[in-house]
Amino acid sequence: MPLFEDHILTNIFDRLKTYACSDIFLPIFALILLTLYVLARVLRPYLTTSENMLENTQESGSSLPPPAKILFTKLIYFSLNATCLHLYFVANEHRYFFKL
Amino acid sequence: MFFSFGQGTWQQYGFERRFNPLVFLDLTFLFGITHHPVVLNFYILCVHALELWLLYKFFDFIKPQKRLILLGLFSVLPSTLWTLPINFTERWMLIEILLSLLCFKNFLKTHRFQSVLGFLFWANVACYVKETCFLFYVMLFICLILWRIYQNDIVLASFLHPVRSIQKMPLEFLLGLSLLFWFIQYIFVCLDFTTNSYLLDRQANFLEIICLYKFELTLTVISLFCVFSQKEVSLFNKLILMAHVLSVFFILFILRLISVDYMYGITYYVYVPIAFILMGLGCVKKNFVFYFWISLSLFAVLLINKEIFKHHQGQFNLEMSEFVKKLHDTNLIVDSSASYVLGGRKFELAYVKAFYRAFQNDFLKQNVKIKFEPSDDFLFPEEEDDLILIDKVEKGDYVLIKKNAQEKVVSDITVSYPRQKVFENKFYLIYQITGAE
Repeated sequence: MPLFEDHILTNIFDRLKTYACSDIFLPIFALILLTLYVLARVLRPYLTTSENMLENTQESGSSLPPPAKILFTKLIYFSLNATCLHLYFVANEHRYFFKL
Repeated sequence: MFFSFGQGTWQQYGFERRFNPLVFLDLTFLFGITHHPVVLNFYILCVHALELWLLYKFFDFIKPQKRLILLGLFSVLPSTLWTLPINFTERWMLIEILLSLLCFKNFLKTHRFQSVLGFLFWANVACYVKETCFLFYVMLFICLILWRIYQNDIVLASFLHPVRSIQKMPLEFLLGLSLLFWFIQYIFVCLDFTTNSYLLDRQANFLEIICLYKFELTLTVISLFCVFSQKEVSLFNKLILMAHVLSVFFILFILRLISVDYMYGITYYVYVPIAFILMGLGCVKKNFVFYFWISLSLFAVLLINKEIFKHHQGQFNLEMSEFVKKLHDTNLIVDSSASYVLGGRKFELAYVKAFYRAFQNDFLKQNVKIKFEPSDDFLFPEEEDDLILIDKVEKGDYVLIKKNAQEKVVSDITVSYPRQKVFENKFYLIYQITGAE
């Protein structure tokens, strides 16, 4: 099986055409987004929050833990992910078809 | 999803059972670029990595090492692990909701107009990808309004001055309007809860719900306790958590949704809420308590995954196929209830073909012909003449039936003949016709 299909741009264009021409959802969706945009523009002067809903949040994104802790955490993280991926690839093989 | 392989998806608008016109749009274009399984798996990994990264960004108030451990646990949750195959749209739902909430958070920090537009755009996209996203935003809207009432921003007089009220709460107004637009379309396009066959097919009783979602429900209670017992957690995060908890309760106890039986044990309906609920554990201050809950959760998750894995290895399918492999010089009539379950959707030619092909090579040697039941919904194109439909039933034929099929579609042709049960397991029944005209 080839890694990528031939005529990728044509394929994408055809699929876009199929999707866009298949029903009336896209114009309705565009109209909804446009309405919301116009209303948001109208309400722009009032778009301020009276109270701070984010107060008490202590961001700790920038404070990194010591190196040993980082290593330990990464080890746990990657081992869990490795388990997850292993299970996924094995399960995928057996998913819906029989072992005949 | 299946049709996006060949020609791309189309908008599912006016389809009475579901209202998710933007679903699988990514696969439409992906399958135009490649069909190679390695690239497709790589794509899944990239999307999974993106959702993990966004979760990491969103929960910036949790310490990094706790966040990473929680993300690791998230990756092995039953709802995450078993939705990794490509035909689940849950990953994109989570990404879209996270993007909208990140914009919301950014708006609260900076009051930038672009953040409001981003929030509205991603919230709308998410709602039209799957109905459960709409539920979350409804619950978020309710939580925001309740908070406003609590703050005395909404009083009885507010209803007399709607314009002034809107000016006071523009974001709530815009979100409510988006949800109203969605709901109006849903009413016109889809059937209601009581007659919608998609919901009716997947509804279960209270006991089944508790059994299937035992882990998720326990986690929800623990997470609620952890978050609301901490004063340091901001109001915004508490509102988001409450919205997710409410949407979980709505899905489980009002809609009463469970996975269909060929997706045994996969709790994909709570995929998005449970990600946020799990991250709530990170609010626990004491390390000992945090690691205790994590260890307990990991142990429970591994047990549940082991059970699902056993089931997904297809032990019931395997038992049935072991029996079928012993047959020689006969006909096997596949009831439409069985072809539905084996394939995933009733009467879709591609699924039935997949079932047929799996048997074909072995059965040519054994001289076993597989026959399918004719149906008005099940139209074979002329070139598909290698699939045999039932013309007549003979003595000695076997009939494969799925037990407790959600839609009782047992063939009238085979039911009228005397028959004897020759095989039975949890999923399947095989009869042999003992008398024919």
